[in-house]
Amino acid sequence: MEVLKLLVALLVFAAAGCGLTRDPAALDFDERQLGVYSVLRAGADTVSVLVIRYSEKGGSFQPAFEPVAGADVRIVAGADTVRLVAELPGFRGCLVPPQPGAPEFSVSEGCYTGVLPGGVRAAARYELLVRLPTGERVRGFTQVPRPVEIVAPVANLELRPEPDDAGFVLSLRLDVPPEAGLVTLTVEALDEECLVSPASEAIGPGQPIPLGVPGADSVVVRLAGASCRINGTPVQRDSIPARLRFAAYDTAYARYFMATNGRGSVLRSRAAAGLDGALGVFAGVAIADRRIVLVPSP
Amino acid sequence: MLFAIFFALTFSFSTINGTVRVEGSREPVPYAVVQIPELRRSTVADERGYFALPSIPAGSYTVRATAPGFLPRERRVQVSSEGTTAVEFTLPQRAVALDPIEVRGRASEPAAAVGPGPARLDASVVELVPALAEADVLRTLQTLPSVQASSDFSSALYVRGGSPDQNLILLDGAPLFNPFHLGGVFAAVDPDAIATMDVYAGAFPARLGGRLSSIVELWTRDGGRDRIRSQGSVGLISARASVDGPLPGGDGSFLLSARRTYLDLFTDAAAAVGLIEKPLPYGFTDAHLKLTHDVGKLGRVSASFYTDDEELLDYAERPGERDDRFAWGSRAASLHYRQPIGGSLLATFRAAYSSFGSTVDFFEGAGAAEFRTIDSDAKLRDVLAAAELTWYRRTHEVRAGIQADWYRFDYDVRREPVGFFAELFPEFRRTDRLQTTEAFLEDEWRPTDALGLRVGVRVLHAGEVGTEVLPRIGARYALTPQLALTVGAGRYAQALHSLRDEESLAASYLAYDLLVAANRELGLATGEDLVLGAEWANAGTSVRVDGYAKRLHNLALPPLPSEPFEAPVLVADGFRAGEGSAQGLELLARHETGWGGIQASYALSSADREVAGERFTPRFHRRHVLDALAFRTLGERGRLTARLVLGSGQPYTPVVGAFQPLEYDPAQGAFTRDFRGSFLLGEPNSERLPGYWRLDVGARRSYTRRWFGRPTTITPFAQIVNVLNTRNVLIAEPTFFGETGGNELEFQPQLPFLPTFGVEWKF
Repeated sequence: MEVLKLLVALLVFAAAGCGLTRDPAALDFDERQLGVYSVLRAGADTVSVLVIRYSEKGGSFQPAFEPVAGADVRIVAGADTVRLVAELPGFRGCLVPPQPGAPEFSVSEGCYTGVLPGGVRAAARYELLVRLPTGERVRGFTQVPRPVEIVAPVANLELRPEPDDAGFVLSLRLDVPPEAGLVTLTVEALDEECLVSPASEAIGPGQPIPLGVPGADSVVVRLAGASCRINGTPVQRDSIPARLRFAAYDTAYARYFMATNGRGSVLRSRAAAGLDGALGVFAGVAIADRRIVLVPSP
Repeated sequence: MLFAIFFALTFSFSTINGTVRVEGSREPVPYAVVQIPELRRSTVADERGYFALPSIPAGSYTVRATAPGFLPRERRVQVSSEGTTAVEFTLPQRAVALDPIEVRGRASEPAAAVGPGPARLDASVVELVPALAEADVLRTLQTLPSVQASSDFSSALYVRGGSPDQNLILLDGAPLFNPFHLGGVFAAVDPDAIATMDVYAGAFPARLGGRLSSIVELWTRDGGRDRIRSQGSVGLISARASVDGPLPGGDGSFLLSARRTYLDLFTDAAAAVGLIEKPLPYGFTDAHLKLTHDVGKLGRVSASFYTDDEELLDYAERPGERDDRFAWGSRAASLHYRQPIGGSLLATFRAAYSSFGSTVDFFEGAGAAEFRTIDSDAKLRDVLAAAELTWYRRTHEVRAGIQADWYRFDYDVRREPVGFFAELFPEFRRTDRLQTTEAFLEDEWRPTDALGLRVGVRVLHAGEVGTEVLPRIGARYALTPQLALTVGAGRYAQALHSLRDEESLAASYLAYDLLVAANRELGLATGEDLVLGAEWANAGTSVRVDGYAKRLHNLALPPLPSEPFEAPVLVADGFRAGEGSAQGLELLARHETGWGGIQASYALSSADREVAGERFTPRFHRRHVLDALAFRTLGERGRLTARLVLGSGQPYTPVVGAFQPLEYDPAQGAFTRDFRGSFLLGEPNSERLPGYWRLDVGARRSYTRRWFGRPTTITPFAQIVNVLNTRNVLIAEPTFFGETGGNELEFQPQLPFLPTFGVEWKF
């Protein structure tokens, strides 16, 4: 009898516990996140700051944000303060398609630009101040890094594919400034008809290849190949000039990049770097280029 | 010098020493109480039944030995004015053998430990816990209040807010790195080989060390010395068998146990007759061999060998391709020599070897185009030698010892830079060699029958990694014959750390731990704890309450992953010095009656970690856990068992918004966006999953027949894990475009309703 009572008690308790089982829960967000994005490029005259507001829903395959107009955006460089204005005439804008030819997406209202006296200087510190009509404030700092020194390859190096036709092997030696937190390499064919593809399928032609912070040793980057098409028809070229573009970013951009690149979700504390008060990044970059020549197999 | 003083003093008093054994099989009875009522002297035998009562005046005394589950025995012993009197007790087992939940001792009896002692489980409790396919030693330990499970899928132990790499699991004194099968679903230790299980969850005595959170001592049976016995089980996925008996000459015994799955045989046969398309070439085995032999009257030497292996093949689909292969396995061996010296001294020597190895080979393509998508080899090794001396005095028990460990860890993990394995594993190669030396000195002083004090110190020297001095104290005071108070505190250090990221969701599914040596920059991980407890016991009921506070320092932890849902479980580098803390209140109650028994444990706890400036609750933690284990006898041969586990939800990181990170394109000098959205996550582990609860049940009935002239017991059993099919939540994961078309939080379930059945036999 006692066993029966115990079993009944357990079953009643069990039935009560069935309510713990949950079907998927809809995610509704009350808060619309503010995003501020700016990378100051050493040597550039102009600076730009993108101010956006993410939608509640977000998600894949849908525009997930809209520009924020009416912001007071300033860059402080030493004793100089420059107030940026929305959509500087003739400026390309803050946001471009990922590849030439991809659908344009305009955010000119949220794109604040201005000209810094003397341009952006490597190794200099800059402050970002953003004040929104809603009263929200964003503040950021960056020290723009110096560019990498390219030890190898030498300029105009002629690079031929590996004997087993496993693509090009690019051996790099860089002298990276200590303030840099991330170096990326973009390989661009100088002829518009041509494309250079990294070996990694996850990185498309013309997209940056993250190198981390290379030490004194050489770094090997593999390129799957280089090809050219005219009106969609493959054409054979004896040589394809290409530009290696090394971008040295500060540590804020490095943190941001590591936290967000290719991620399906990101901790809020990692989704902002170099600034407080918004998601996004305020960072500096310095570019160093080198021309090489890819010589495809006949 | 110290040894000489010990030796000289040893012969100034008479000592009664000896061993308490089981009548018939003459296997040792662990932790029996041995008393001389006329002198009001008593002691507790060790895990091998050895006891010593020093400083006994000449005369004739009644010496009494008692142990739970056994009838007491008394012997009249004549003690001369000098020297040693050896006594062997053989205790008959009580007639009713269906009482695995034993209520041990009363507060007025001597305790095996001064201070907060270990949680001690007899091996017979293992069969009480309804099993997931296999009777499981480690899952049985998860019924203790100090121990939590990270999920239904893992038998790894999380002790008082510590992670599994902070536990030292010793099998007959040999450390085991990964005693798991099937990725951790169940333990790879044959329960039929186990005699006792002790879990030290805090305030360890100085003789124990090497880890921050717990020491788990698994002691195997010696085997009977009178005749051959055998027992085993045929279950749903595997069969196990053990045989034990006397060695020639009668002064020793052996125990051999082995287990093997037959999943592969079943699926091979099913595939051969066309029932299934493809066999499942998965197999595991484990085996244990132990040899014990007396040396002189009370000395003994024992050798223990352990092995486990498992392999999973994925057969190639096309001719010319190679099979993919996962393989893991452990080896352990230990040699113990124990020798009383002159009655008041006991010397023990231990040497052990332990290793764990894994190989993972995956291929793509065939012939000349074949390449490995992953090629991983890992090997963990520990060779140790230890010596310990115990000096028994009238009110003191002084222990001193030294231990040296030689560790070597080899990893060679290579994989394709992009793809499935790139998400799971980092690519790395490293070899760590580390030698540690530990020494300890400890005195247990029992100035009165009611009071026991323990003071000790342990030193860990790990070469360039660091040296730590680790004081330990403990006390126990019996307020009344039923009630005792305990207190203990200590400092601990650890020279190894895990490559696992406990915050990875995959850690819930996989129990394997890959260890490395702490490096010079990080140094030794350390911790300290304070434990206050109370123990109450009377006939049939015992209650133990412990409150603890624990701090951990210099833990080698990976920074929190930015993306916990895809974070790899294995981290090769980037470890930072982290901090941790835990505090809690634990209750363990046991009650036995004529019709059954119950063990109930409850733990209220909090735990946190801090690394790289971020503080969070570890993902495995539950604030409340109630674990009740009960059985009801059905006549003399049957038994119903049930286990109910209730727990508050584990932490998870909430989704607080939608987000689309932009990437700077240096070629265009502006930001770009792709069309992949991201979820924005809030404070790490700041919300809790729904509460957890699960009811497991089991039933068994024994039948005795006389086969081959011997009584043979056959016990069919059936068990159901999660009998009410409660869909407990393991993981909450956000997804775009869920079932409703919008963004959703999906809940991944824990184990569903899982029945298992089999037959045990014993003769």
